[in-house]
Amino acid sequence: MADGSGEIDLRALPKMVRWYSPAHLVSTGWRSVVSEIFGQYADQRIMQATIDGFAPEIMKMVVGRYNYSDLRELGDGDKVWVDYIADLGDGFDSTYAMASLVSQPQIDIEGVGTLPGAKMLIMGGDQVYPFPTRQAYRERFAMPYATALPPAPDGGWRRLLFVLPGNHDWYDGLSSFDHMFCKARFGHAAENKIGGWLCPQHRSYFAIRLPHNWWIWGADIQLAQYLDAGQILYFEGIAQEMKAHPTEAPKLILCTAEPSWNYDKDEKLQGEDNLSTITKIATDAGARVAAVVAGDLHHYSRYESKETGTQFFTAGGGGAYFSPTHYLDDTRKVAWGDRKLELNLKCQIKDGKPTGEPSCWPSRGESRWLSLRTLAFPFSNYGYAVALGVIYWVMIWMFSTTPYNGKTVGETILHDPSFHWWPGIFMLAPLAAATNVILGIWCLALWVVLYGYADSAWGKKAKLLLGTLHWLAHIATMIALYYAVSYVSFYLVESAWPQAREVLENLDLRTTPDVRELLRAIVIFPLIMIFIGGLVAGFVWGAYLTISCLMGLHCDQAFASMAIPDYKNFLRMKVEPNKLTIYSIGLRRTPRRWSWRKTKDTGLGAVAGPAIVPARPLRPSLIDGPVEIRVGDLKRPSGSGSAVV
Amino acid sequence: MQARLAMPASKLKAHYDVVVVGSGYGAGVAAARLARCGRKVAVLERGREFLPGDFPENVAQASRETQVSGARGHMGSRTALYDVRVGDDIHVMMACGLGGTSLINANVCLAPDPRVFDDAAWPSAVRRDRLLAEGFVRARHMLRPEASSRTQSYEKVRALRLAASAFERSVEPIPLHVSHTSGPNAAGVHQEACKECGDCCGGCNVGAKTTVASTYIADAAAFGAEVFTGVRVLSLSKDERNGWRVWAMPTDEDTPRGHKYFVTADIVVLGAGTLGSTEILLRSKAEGLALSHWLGSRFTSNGDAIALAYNNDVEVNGIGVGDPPKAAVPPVGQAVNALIDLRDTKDVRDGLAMCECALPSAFASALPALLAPGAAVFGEHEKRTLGDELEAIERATDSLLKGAYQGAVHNTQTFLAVGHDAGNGVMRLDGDRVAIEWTNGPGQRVFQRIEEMVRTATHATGGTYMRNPATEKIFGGNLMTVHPLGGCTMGETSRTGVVNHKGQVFDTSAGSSPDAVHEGLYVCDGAVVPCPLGIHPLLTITALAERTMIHLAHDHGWHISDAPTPVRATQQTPAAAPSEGRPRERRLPWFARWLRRAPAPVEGE
Repeated sequence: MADGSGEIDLRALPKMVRWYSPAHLVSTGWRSVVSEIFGQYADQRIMQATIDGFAPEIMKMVVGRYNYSDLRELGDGDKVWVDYIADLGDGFDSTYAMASLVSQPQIDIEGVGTLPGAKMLIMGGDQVYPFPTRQAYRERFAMPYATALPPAPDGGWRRLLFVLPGNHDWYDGLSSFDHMFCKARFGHAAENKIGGWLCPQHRSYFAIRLPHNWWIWGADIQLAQYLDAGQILYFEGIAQEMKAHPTEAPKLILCTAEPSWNYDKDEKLQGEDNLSTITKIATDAGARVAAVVAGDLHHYSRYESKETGTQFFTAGGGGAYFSPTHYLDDTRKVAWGDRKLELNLKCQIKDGKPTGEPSCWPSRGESRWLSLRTLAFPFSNYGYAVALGVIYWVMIWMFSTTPYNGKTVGETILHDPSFHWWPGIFMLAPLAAATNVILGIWCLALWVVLYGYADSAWGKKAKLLLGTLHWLAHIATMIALYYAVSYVSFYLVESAWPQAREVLENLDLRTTPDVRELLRAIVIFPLIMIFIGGLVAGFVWGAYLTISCLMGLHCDQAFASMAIPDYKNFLRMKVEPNKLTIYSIGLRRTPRRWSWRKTKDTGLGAVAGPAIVPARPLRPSLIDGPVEIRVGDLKRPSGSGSAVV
Repeated sequence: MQARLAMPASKLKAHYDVVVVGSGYGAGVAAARLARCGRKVAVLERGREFLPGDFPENVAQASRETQVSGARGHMGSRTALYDVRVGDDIHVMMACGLGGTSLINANVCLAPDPRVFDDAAWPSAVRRDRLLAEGFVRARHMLRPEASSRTQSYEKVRALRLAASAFERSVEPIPLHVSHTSGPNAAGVHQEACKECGDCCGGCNVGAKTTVASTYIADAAAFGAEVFTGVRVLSLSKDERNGWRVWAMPTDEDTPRGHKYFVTADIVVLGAGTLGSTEILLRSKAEGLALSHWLGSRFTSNGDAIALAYNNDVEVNGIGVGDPPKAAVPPVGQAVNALIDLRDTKDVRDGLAMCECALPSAFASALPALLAPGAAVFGEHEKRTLGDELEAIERATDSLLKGAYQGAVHNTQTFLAVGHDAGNGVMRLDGDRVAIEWTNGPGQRVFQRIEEMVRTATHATGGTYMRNPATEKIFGGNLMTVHPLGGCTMGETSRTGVVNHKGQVFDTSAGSSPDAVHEGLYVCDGAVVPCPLGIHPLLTITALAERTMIHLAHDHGWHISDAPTPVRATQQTPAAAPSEGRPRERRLPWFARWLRRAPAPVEGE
């Protein structure tokens, strides 16, 4: 058995696929639509045929073509600077703020001094949101980055760009990504420029050689799937090459598209874990892995392995909405080669000294505080709130018109003096849902949707409870709103009736009490219910998210709803023969739309700098570190210090 | 802050697990790693222990710390710091003291071109196993080489950049084992931040130089190794019961008669330097130890050449100022900061590299009077216009009148060039001393090429080209090296070398197989390098020694502990003192404490 337990759980064995199950129908239908619209997913048969033509030896020879070893000249002899940024291509303000920060010739940071601009930038995934079309790439990714770093005056490139695809780049089967970044495969290595950036990569993964046998590997894990065989061969070929150096031990910085150490893993996948697959290739070649860097989670955090000295960075601060840090565990386990590494979050370094605090940014307290802003959900997502209002109104409409004791439910609860809402409503509401089948179906559908939405991080039962509580909250709010909106509409129709009657009379229309009631029920009530009641409904939703988020659930959804463009970050790495220094640079606040200025064209020919600048200079700060990783401190996989190969 | 580590020879015990001879890069590694294996280690060093503040600061002190020895005898104290060996064909400049040459070298931590190791002279195992790379990692981890962040702003580097433009090259910053920030080093010894005084080559009085004494030897001592100074090892012989006899005598005695004694050890690691280790083995061979006939051969100067560009048109600021500074000039930098790298040639043996070097301030006051006549007699410069000539004369006068930090000497660049010579010098025992014979040494093409290169560089900055005065024809036309290598070279068998790739000395006694070795006898220093490296060798020597130690530990089934160095109480007290407590002492110049605390260094017995 895959989980190695020896016990076979009969109930857990996969069942026959129910082709006519509604969920399956919906998903298949959706997929066919997707591939209709966005072209066929890459045809696996063509891939197979292509790869089949090459023996593994030849595949490894091809690696030579993708050797970017000329990059050794990027350094000033002894050290090389490399930037890492991930999760960009969201709104212009935040994406461009980070693009211009990265593109600056140098950054002055208080307490650290001046950090020179890196000649090479690595993008760690999700270059565009939400869907990777060519236009989206152009608007959300290429435009900010080309503006921030225009080409050199002679039209040439200035810096190199290597890009890893994240899940959002994979949603169209990587076609747009391939066209955007991997044109070098077709011999356009010197031409594939985006502004002043040159993309020399051939595939969606890469291995870059830096001086002193330092390497940067970028692994493409598709949609958190397998590493394909071609990629494994590629890295195995590279591993042989890095092993062959007579005087410099191989050293590695590994970039992946997702921080798998942050995710709960299915234990049964042990051994098929991407991170462990690739680190095994590296460590088998005797490489020391200094750092593993990933994006995908839009915050900054760093885990440390005391055992090997490897640092695990999550730095997804390229522009996408900020996501919180307070739910991060203090310790995690990650599959590493053949074994497990214990990771520790409490390794913050401030002013060059370890403090023992969790190294995440913003801090957990700040992150909790920020999650309260989710309470403003209906205002930041008014469209969603109105949609909720519509649903509320429809359901309330059905509820109040359900017949009950010769009257409608609405009349009963509002006007029947013998009806007391407490505890009558607890009998009436289920009764109404039972009598009115459509209402019942709506209620059930609402429950299904909310249950499906609930976070499953705490297990199935918690999910059931969470979904049900959320559903109950909505139902209760609906009924409360019915009372409130009805009384408000009575009051409004009372005060507005004289004028309305006059208008109606002028139009020779009837002005009976029926008409008055009609006016209340189909004009005033829905308007208030949808547009103001929607806000309340949205508030319930927001409160649900806030409370869950404070408990560490639904964090992504909560912060996605706020779309906070602040707390952006990127990594600037200094690679030296015997150590790697990583500066984690944060931008506390990004300029909003109104604080961008166009630079004046001096009329002196080509503009060398960016065309758009912030009104006030950006103020980056060091959020952790500098993290110094000394090569001699990194333990090699064999563990013992006196290993003779 | 360094604590004193050394003990006098009177404390020597009769037997040790390991005796390490010497305390330079190779010996330091051996001492530290074997102490970390839990062995009982003794380090025997012929010189004295120098701490920051002990190094010469003026000409008088410097001359007292100089010893010159040659065929005609010996001059100066035998434990003097600067040890110059005058030879018939080549002069060698070394250091004598705990820490070896690391006390007065230029801290250049550069790795050789990888192609150097493709040379057939290297045993194939060096290329095959991955441990040399591992050795480089460990060496760098301990020495922490780092280029100064202000490299490009030093005036001597700017001048070098001008010179480099003559070769259409850029200059590259050199990683130096100098601590640029104050704090504990890899062995837990507190080091001050570099004050950019340029005095590395005279001995660092600031305490910023990461010497072997402050790293490997301190690490060894922290793991229980005993360090002895003033012990000159003469020869080795086999002991019937206890492995090896290490014959020694007090360094400051002229002849061994009556002073000779021995300690025994299971393992002897020779790390006394190219000349020292070879000398000990030559003497042992003369006394009957069966050693390869290659012993003493394949001496190489690593293509070393020193030359001066006197009286340049541009500011050079290439004379160290010492600490406290002897003159108000901009920061000099470290002794060596930048490299013109011409090693990317098709044949690796054509590669050259050249760096600038700041002369130590201890010699500063003597320089104007030495260089001005030297330049007048030996110097050669391009034709100057009358105005330039007048300016040059004015600068020369300036220096003579106002001292080394102005005028011509202030504008003097010192070049250190390295390359690949034939590597076929021979060391022989000449009575009590080792003599180097290298009849075709100076005539080699590499030295002409270096001379051409340095002359081009000199003329690019408008200076007067001067060879190292010691190598002028009038003084015999000899070479001078600070990078002696070879003598106990590595080889596959005793037919091609003196030691195998693990540093074990081949046994050539009758009937033994060509790859038989003397059990427990190792050489790990520059002497094992079988061919010129074409770059400053310290990092390679350290890495080779680390590799040797990995093999040694593995062969004996020992484990080199990788625990951090235990911090000793003596090192903690001074570190805590400056923070608070004794403000009076803090106001004193930093060296005053040392002057008070450390009286005459312990010499011998």
